[in-house]
Amino acid sequence: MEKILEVQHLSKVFGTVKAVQDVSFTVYKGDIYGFLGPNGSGKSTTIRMVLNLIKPDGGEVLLFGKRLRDDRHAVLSRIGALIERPDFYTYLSAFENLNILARYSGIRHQKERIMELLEIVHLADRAHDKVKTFSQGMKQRLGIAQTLLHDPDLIILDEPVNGLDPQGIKDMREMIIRLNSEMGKTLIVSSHILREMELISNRMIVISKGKVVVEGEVRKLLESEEQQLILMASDAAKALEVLRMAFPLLNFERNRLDEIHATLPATSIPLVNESLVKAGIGVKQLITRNNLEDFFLQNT
Amino acid sequence: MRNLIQLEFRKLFSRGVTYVGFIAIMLIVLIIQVGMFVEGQKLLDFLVKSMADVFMFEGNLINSYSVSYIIMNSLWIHIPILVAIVAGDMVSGEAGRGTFRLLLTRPVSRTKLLTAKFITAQVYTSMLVVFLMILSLGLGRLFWKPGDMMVIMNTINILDMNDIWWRFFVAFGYGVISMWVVAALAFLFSSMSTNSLLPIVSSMSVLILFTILSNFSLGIFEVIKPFLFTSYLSGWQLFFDNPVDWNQIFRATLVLLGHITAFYLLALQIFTRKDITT
Repeated sequence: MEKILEVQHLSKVFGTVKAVQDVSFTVYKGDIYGFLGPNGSGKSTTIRMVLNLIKPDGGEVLLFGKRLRDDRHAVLSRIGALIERPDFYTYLSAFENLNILARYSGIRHQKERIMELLEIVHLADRAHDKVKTFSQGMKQRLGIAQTLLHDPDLIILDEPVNGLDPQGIKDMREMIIRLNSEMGKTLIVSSHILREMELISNRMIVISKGKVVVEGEVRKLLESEEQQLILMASDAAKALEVLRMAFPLLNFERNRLDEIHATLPATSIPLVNESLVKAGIGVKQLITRNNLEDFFLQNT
Repeated sequence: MRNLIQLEFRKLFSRGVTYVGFIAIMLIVLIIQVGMFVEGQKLLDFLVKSMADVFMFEGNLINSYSVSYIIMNSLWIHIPILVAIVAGDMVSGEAGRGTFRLLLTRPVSRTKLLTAKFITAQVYTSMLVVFLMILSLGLGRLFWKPGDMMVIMNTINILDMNDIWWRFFVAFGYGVISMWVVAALAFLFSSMSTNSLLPIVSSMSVLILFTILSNFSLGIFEVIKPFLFTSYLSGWQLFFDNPVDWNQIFRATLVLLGHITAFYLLALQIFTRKDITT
């Protein structure tokens, strides 16, 4: 697989605070790479170092196989980025903002391209309105449009759903998936909203206190973890007895709602179901919880 | 680079604050012209009162040139503030608004971007001074007839009306350079800050402090005076001396240009190494 971004042992210290310590990871072509961590964990600092906004104290950033510090111009012309809030020139219109940013990217005669992008982010009808009249969601969408101006290979979105309402979050999620699946873009998306990352990313990194906690494919990382089981059976008392007999090493508990709770490896879940069915106990509901949120909380 | 400068101008002239300087200059010049038109003779009588016993004055000493000269004197106090408002916002404004995150993630060199901003600030400064020149000389012609001009410096110079125009042009030219220094200073502070107010206040504070030091006649300050740019800001007056001391003007111009270069290079050093955290 083609490596798009390779971060090697990146470090940054602000005064006495070690913001990023020895962070390494790799993003491959076609990834939607989740960048996870609590607030203040060093996500934004790492992303800013990748984009040359912050100078690292140590380590190396390789983009498209080139060292960022050696080939900044060539590398940045293949990246689109939206870092934290989408801050535009509020006294200019959406069109003028994109026009200015396009010219900074060295693109001229871009009127059609800008209108096409405004169409994609559903802002074509507000193209000539000043940005100061835009809602947060509209600014975020305009932020996405500006990342696409120069048709980049890699798009970096830092906290793209911050401040958005549920509909805005849904729109953003769909847009990210479209950028990846329909337009073939590689994306790095940082967020502390874990549910979103779980829904969109195929690979991820979790950092905490400036250090890498874990990195890899989301599916494999989740599979390797223990699952929380919540089970409702036709006869809770009998089900509990059967399960305790069948799995003596596991701890099954029954609560006041007649739900049976247990923490167990993912591979045991089909066996639990099978044991109950064989014992003639109806399984009314079987819920397993091992989402990114649990994973995140366990690891940070 | 031309593209970057065009973009800076596009942004600059899309903001209302950019026009404040022009409006302020227009109002001040207009008020002074009207004031001089109404009360000018009284002012002149007061100025020449002490010399009335020694000299005999004939003709109209209140004319378009002398009024323009008075305007030049008064406006060099105000123009630095107007210059600092715009130059002080050039870098810090973008940092404060967060727009550097958009600009610097594009394939733009920081050196070129800062240089484009610096040039834009200096061109804007030049425009302000040229606007002042056009208004003070142009409006002066509406209110007054031209005439010989009396300049009181160390000596009293009476300049023939046919020998004045060029002096105004070069004096305003020098004025542009001296205001460039103020703009460069505000720009330097701007490169250090993420708040637009701080560079304006800082540059004005430095200007006031250095002006006080430049005007103190104490031995300790005499040593540093030649190195303070404020010692040369009023050098435009030298063009109204007779004869003009070209050597002194040349030295003063070199010192001012040296300050501009130093402030620019320092701003460049700071900006190219700066972490964009806003």
